[in-house]
Amino acid sequence: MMNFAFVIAGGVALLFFLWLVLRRNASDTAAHHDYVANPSAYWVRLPPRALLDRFLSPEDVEYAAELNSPALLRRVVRERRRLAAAWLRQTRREAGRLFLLHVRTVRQAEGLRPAAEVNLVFAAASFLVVYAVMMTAVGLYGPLHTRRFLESLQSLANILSNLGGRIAESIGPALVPQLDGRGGR
Amino acid sequence: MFSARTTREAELEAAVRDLETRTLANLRGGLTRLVYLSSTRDYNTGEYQHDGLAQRFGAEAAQRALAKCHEAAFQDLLYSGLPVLVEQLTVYIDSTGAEREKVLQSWRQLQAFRVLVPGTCDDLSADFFVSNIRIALEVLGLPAVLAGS
Repeated sequence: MMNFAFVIAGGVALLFFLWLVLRRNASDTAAHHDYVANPSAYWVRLPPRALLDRFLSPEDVEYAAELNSPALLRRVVRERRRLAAAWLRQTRREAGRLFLLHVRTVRQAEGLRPAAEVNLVFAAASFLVVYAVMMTAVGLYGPLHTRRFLESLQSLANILSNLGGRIAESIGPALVPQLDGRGGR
Repeated sequence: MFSARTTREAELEAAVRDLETRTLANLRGGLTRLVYLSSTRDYNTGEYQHDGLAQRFGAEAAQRALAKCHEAAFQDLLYSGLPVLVEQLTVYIDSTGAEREKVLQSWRQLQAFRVLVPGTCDDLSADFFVSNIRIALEVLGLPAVLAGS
């Protein structure tokens, strides 16, 4: 009687493991199908870092200031602030999309590396903090447009770009374009 | 398949070199080159057309060479500083032979500079380019700059 119970329990355990394996294979196939059906979702579209440097160019602001036209200087600063804010929003949207894509992919992955996942969550949290600081700083770009202020913003942008790059690499380093170059689309 | 791709790339490179040495080298200033390259694009289809280049290298290579040069000329101007853009705009206006104030007025009203953006350009870069051109037009319209011209 006891032996029969062991056989039944063993059979149930075997069936359970079989079900787990089949389920994982089905998930992997679904993930693969996702990639095949929509590979563009895996493309990294972070805006080029060099573009933000141009938006925050101290030389352009100094040039506008030299022309002795307060209206022109206001316009240059207003436009650059608008564009820098747009760059930041686009970077945040893309980083968020990549992070969620990674979470979705990792749910179905076999070789989960907890340390790497913790690092990624830390990178994502740091990204949000730097993003919030930069958005506030860009809001101040106007009354405050000294060279030093713009250079500080560019340093923050470096940190933000590196964090964005780390998030992007989480979905596959091979898919990440050169983030510092012009072709960072 | 590999050699077919290599041949196509070699054709493209040859077409780009030809375009640069025969045509673009004769145009003064990056903005003038950009205006020329965007004018070879059919605004209905978005395709580039250049009979001489197509005859020498084939329609596809000519199309790709023009697109490549257009993108390169655009990127150069996009990443140039405001003083460079203002200078390029001055050179372009001078090259038209028209009265500067008339050209400035026309560019401001018609915003023809919007067609200078290549089709592959992302929205943010296009927005930045248009914004910079508008600022450059304003700079050239300043009384002090006009008086100095």
